[in-house]
Amino acid sequence: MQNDLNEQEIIERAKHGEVRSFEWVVNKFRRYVFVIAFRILCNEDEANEVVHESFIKVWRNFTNYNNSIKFTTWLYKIAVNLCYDKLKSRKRKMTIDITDDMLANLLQSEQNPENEFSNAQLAEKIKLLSEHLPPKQKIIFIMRDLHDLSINEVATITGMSESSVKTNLVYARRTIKEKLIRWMN
Amino acid sequence: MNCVDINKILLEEYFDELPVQIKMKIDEHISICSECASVFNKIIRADKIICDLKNSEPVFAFEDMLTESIMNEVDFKKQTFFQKLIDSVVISMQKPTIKFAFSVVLIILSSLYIYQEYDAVVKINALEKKYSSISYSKAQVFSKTAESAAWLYQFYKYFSAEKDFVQVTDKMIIIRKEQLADLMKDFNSLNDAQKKKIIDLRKELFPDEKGLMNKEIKIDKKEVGKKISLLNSK
Repeated sequence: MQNDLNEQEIIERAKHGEVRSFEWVVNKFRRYVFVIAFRILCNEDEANEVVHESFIKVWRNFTNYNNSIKFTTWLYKIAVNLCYDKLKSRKRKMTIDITDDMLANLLQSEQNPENEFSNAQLAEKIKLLSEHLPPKQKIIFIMRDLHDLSINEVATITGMSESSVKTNLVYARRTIKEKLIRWMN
Repeated sequence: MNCVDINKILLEEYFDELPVQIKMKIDEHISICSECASVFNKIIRADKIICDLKNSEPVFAFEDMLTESIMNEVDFKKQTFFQKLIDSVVISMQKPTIKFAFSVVLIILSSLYIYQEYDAVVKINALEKKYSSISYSKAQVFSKTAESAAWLYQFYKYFSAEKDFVQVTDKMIIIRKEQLADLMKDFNSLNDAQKKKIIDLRKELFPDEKGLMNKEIKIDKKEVGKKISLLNSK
């Protein structure tokens, strides 16, 4: 159905309430949203919830989407805001008891040529690295370093200035690398 | 470049992403500084761990189920009539042009309503002033029955060619009895055939002549029109 239309045209149609085009948009971008939500929340169920809530929000607010920014940036903005709310609403800060096995798994991961982890393993590793970071630093680190978004995109998504994003990123990297070095010692 | 600089760079950036010149300087330094070389190896391992996480994506097991649940919520075909209606109104109201058009229409309608109300108040005030000196014994005020009395105005207008015996506003009709006398004078000046026509009509329309001004008159305007045209055609 959508073969003869380009992505921007389909998004435009979905924006004007065409359900089949919107379904195409969901199928196309659901994975991006899931991956970023999973990395931020380190929880598969919550990530699924964010995917659902994000697309419902997109559908309801599609007319507010301004074509001057990339659709994915706008979509990420919605998803990341939902993740941020979830992070803040967690009653207690997520703490995990670090065991020797967990550390060994994390530190030996670079020797794993396949780089294939289960969702639980992956969530555990990201948690180990980022659990002590404040929510904003965590989100910025994940978006920039794990999700490979540009500084400009991260700034647009978070609504922060580029310099502020860079500063937060530097703090986050420092904290994580120092922690890793400590564990290596 | 000293040990502090190198430490700072390596902790804040990824070695692989550094410019070649800086990489060379770091290489030069660690070849002569064993302490930095040890830190460098650990940071490279740390970079690799982060890089591995970057390359590992979680398995999205429920993607089709999620799409289905999202589409169930937005798909009009699967929604009830009211959900569809609410959704379409909400969606259309969010479009800037619709918002603007709706605001304009709302402003125009509100202005018209306010103007009409104001106009009616002004007219009623003027009428009240005009007839304030006339007691109710001389004037008959139809307010609640304005609609049923409105045809009366048309009826007399038909015969009298708009005499000044009646005032009509949106809200009320005021008929002055004393001016009905003028109408009777006009009536008396008619010839017998014309008088007969009107008398016949009056008998037909108002069997109870006394109640004409004091009772609510319920006669269909269309019926009156028909009867008048029947009389005229005789």
